[in-house]
Amino acid sequence: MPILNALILTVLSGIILIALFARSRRICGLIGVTTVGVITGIIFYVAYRVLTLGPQTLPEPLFSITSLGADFSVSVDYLSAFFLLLIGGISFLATLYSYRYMEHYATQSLARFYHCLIFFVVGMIGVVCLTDWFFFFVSWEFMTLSSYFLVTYEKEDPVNLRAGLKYFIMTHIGTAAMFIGAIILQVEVGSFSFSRLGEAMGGMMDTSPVKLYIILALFLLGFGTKAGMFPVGTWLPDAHPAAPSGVSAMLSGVMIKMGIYGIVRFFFFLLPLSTYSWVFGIVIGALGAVSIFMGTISALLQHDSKRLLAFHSIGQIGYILLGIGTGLVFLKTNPSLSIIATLGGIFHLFNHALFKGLLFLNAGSILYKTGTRDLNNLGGLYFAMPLTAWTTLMASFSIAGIPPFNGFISKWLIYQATILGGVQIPVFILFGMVAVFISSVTLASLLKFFSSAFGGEMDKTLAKSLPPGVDVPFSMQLPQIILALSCLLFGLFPWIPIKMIYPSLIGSVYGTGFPTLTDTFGNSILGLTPHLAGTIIGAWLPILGLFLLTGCFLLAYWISRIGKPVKRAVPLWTCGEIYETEEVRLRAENYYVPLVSHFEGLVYPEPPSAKIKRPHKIYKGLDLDEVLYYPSVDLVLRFFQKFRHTHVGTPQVYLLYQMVGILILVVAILIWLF
Amino acid sequence: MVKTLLVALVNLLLVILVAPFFEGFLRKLRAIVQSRKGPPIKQPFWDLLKLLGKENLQASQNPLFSLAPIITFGSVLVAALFTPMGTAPPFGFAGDLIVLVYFLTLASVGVMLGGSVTGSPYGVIGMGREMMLTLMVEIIVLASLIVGVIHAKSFDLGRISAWYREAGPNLSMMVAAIPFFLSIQVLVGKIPFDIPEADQEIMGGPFMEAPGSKLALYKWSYFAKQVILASLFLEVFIPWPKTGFIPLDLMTHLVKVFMVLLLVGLIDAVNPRLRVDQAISYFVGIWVVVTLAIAFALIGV
Repeated sequence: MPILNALILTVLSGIILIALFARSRRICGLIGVTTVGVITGIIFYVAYRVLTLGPQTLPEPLFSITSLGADFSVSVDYLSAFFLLLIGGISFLATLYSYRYMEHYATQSLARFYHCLIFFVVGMIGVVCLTDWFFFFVSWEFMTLSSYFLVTYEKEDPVNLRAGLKYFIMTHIGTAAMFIGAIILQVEVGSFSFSRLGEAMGGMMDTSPVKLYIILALFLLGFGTKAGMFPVGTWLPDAHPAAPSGVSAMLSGVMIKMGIYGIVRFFFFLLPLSTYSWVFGIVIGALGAVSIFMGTISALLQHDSKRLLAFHSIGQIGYILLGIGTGLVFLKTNPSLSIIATLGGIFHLFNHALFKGLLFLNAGSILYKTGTRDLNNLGGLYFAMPLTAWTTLMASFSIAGIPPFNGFISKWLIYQATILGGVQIPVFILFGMVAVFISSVTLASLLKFFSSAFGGEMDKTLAKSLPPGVDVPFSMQLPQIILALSCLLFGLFPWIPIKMIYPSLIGSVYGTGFPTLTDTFGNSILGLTPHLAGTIIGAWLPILGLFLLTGCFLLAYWISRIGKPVKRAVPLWTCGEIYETEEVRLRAENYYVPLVSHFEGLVYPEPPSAKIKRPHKIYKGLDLDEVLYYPSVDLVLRFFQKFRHTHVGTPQVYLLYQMVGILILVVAILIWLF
Repeated sequence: MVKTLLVALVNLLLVILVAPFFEGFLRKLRAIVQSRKGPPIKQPFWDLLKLLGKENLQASQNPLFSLAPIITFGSVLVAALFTPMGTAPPFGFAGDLIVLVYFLTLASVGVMLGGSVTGSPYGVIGMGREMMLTLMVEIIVLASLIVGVIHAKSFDLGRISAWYREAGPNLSMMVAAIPFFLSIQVLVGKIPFDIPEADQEIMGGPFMEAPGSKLALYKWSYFAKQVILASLFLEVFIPWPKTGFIPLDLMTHLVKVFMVLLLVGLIDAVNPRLRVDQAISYFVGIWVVVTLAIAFALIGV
């Protein structure tokens, strides 16, 4: 309770102070960073208490709306604590990064930015801590609206407004779907509390299965839209590039994870164990596999740095969904496989927050220094910003699942679970193969990103604007360094996150039926040896691996020095003729042309400004903007156009409207009363 | 413990010192097919030594340019420690087949980084081609090994090999052997899939700017990869005959590797190079074969 008061006090004082000092950009930024820092400290403390002492619940709801059956009850269990750590860590680093980065937006009000940012963080904290659907939706909306204002922060740019509107409409359709589902359940039991709704679903299993299927599908739609799942995640590649980079890191690092939190909370903790878990496990797994494929193949075509990363978010969310879906399918029949899959999925969520947050910060640093997001016009930035180059390389290795980085371990767990799960349900082998294949596509895409931005030499115009060796300011470097090092740290010591995630799964509906941590992953402190029904299925000891890798690198280095070669700097060989750098550079859009032409019909549609070279039937069907989004928006607009005719501008007519309205109301009340 | 270290040492020696001689045989074979006399068997070894002493020309000041060959060669050496050669892999307890495949990918990543950081257009084109081929082939390597995983219910290479040795020939494993064998050609950069290097076309691609010692490491890693992939192929898909006495198994293994590489060299000698798009279509066809093998494995044959 005192913790909650402290949180509220911090938020209020932060907001008031920012409003007071709105004139001074520096003070405004400092207050913003401090406020988010204090919030992070508070929620880290809460998470620490939960991880050491067990789940914490406020003894009674703070207040209730009895007529609705809604209680403002707060409870932090292991799952919430895990997400709190993620929210706190990424938000603080992104805010710290924004402190100097926001110089980029010199004409915009900073108070508006930090206010929205603080509300955004508070909204996310509410989402993971509240245990009542009604107030869950309140904070869900808090999060969505404040992030909408952050996406459209640069409000003069019509592209951003369009992206923001798309985001607003799509997520609200999802939220509305969820709300309908929650209301149907509330009618059954007369309460919005999580535990009662779980009971309601248990009761509906026998009495009204069709209704329950619809409810579950509505919730999946709502959470999936937020998470960026295919096919409802198309808002994501537009909204992420529109937001300031620090916010993009938060959107991709933590906000879309709230959708995954919802799916885990709903399907693992509330829905009683039944065939419904099995059915929706397959659906979630399949949608995950399709997201992996569509998102990443689309990313391969991009040359706008942030749009490329946004498409990868769809792809990586696919991995998480695949892990969770596989876990859900085998929950009953094969708990030891189920826990490997689910843990792989949630671990990948954790890793994705780290490396995708980092990649967005890196893209932001490039934007900050060069003023462009177009990879075609970049090159040789290594010499201007070496630190960003190294952190980008580490994040790229991590997202592509190269050992010994953290992304490898989570993907490795997902591969194992899907492939061995496929022995029972063959379609999962296909999903696993898609995941393996796309992992190398991810590598291809990120190597393109790296080598087109940092490889080669700077051309004249870039070199003129960028003095060599002057990297971005330290407050922007620090978050990058911390995130890059944590990518390596959690790759070497996977036990740290796994020990946080594992107890939360024990708290799920399947509960104590799961094998213990040692039974699943062995007890070697060096790494993981996953067990399935008592036998070892694989092994990866990262610390030993790093040891071997270092040894072999040293051996290779020693061999290369045997002949004691003498160094000499030479110019690039372009067949004898001398060219300018920009004349001979291979641009980002030309990297994988032969491969891309093979998958051309299978990608998310390009933005309308770009020309579509080969019209394709699948293309049209998949362009949800054209099929779904624009028609529905048009419909709404036309409806209101019709409505406009009623506004004639004469006060007498408006008075008439009022009279008629009151008359109808009175009649209605009379009919209702008698 | 001692046994592990001894086997590890043997593996390292095989890929560092014996692998160049295999390449010498391949060159001889290629010469015979083309009615030439060919260089002596030891020639690749002398080539490497000579390259190591050459001047170190820095076409780029980017440290990644110097680091890339070390990444490539180092990760190939690590891969050798996870590969079974005649007996169970020495560090099989520390990493399974997915780890092995990803270390081989890391070796390709080294090649790609080394090619692209200089900014040479030839290097970047070569990098793109290397990436596309790696992309298409990595999944084939993993998928054909997964046929073994489905049977043995484990990702441990030693266990898969042991299972197949005892269970005897098996239809799905035989079908899966073909795609794996065909992908060896790509990963060791042999014709018809030496597209990333394509000397006559893009002048060595990623290796264009690499000076002596760096080129030596790249070449060496390709020689080493030949032995690693041939060993992997033999241990998983043709694990017979085995006596259980390690030195004897090692000798028979070397003979078998020699025979596999002869086949690889023969394909190399009699084929023209494919274009990238042709190679991609070709591998899409191979995917179908792998899928068939997995389907066979799932129904238990």
